[in-house]
Amino acid sequence: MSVLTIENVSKTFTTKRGRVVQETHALADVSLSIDEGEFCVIIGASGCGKSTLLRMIDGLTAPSSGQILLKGRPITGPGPDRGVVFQHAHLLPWRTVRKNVEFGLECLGVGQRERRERAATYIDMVGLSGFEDHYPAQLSGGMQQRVGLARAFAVEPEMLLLDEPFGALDAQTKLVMQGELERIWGVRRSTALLITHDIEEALFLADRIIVMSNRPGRVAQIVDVPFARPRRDDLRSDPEFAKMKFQLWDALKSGTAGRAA
Amino acid sequence: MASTTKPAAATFDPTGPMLMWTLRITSVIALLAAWEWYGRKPESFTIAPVSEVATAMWDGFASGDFGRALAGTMLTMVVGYVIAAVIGVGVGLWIGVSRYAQNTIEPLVHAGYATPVSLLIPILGIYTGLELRGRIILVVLWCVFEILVNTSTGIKEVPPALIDVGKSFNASKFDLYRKVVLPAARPYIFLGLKIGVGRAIRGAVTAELLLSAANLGRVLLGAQSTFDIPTLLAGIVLTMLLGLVLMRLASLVERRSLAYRTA
Repeated sequence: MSVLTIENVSKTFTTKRGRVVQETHALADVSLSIDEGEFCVIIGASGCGKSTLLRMIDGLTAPSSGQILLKGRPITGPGPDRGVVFQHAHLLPWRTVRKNVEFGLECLGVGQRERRERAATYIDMVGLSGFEDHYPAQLSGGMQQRVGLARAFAVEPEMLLLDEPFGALDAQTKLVMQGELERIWGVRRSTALLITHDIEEALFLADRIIVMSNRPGRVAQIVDVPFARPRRDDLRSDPEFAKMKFQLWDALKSGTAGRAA
Repeated sequence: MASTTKPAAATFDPTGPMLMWTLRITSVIALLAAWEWYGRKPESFTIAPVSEVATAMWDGFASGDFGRALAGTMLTMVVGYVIAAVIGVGVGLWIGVSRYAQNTIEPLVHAGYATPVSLLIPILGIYTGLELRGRIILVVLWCVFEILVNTSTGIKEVPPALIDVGKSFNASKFDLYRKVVLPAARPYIFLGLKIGVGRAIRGAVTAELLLSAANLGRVLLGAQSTFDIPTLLAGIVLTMLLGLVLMRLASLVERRSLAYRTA
């Protein structure tokens, strides 16, 4: 059953500088649907509008045409049914780890006791027990993003939206965090949509990969990923993994090449 | 190899507390010694040596003159500062969040910010009288714009990404301001409040010198009229010390409440 349906969505940004009006077509006629419990990854070069698409699903911006339906209802704004993990974690620096994880719950009016309990559960789940009273400035980039994950999981959303969550991390931390996300996501298996430009990350995490082409962004190809879960790091050396990686790279290249110039 | 050089580096560590305090104290002593030496030269009769200034300071406090003057100046300063803080933060927040205020009040604020407050002294006396009320209003004018401009800048400089976070997690408009915008603007607001402390002291003493002689201002003007150089210098040093202590205090409060940044 499909949870999220995107129907012919286009997005055009209009910028005015003096009398010059400039129009940028970020997305053109994107349609896709995401099933319940599916881990879907959108992959594309920078500037293909993938972040814009995520912002529209989150409800921060509206499509210029077409519509996005979540469980059959059109999205009009952010809601508790979606939890977002941002690229640079974007924790609130004046709040401790615990208070950051509680933030979404506070906004939903969850009582203090339940907030505490849920925060403890999810802080434990992302492996940060003992760091509850630390401030973000005291944590490494990887740990900050763990808090970002816990904050999104804590509102127990039906759908997780992850916007290049590991894009700002160093190579090793990134691999560790991909493994962690696979483990944490495996616990509840709520529907997830992740955006990345990292092919290996997409293959490691996705049930289905949507390859987007550039300017304006369109769906170029949809690839099913057959690997069984739970996935472990040795998957990365699987010959099938390497083959798919190459195929995706090819798809990505042809998506960009046609329109780059 | 690093371990053999480390102890040597530690002794010359320019940020070490021992060395820092030694430097601080020696520089103060050197300055005072130079002052004493210069003041004792017969041709420099307009500069009293530091020992005479210290005696004048002692006498000033012993007679109760300095104590009363200090208390009076502080009262003017504190009352003016509190009023300025309330108005500055309040109006600053309003300008920060409201387009209407940005279009109507902000230009006036910028005009006021750029105007030398001393310019208003001749007219201010006519409107407010020369007593405490007039001096307090002058203090308010001296520091309110600094606080106000910093506050509104803080609100405008809140990273849009943090606002997105608030919206994504379903913060109501009120929660968005209370839990995201205001705390994010706090470093700017505190900076404005800290700068305001220094400006409030300047405002208070300026008012006491130029609006009507009172408190520290009267001590200075009185000493000047009798050519009592040691007391004059003692009064100036006292004002400086007052500024030093209060600014230190303001920095301490600021550091405490923004500890999360460097923690």
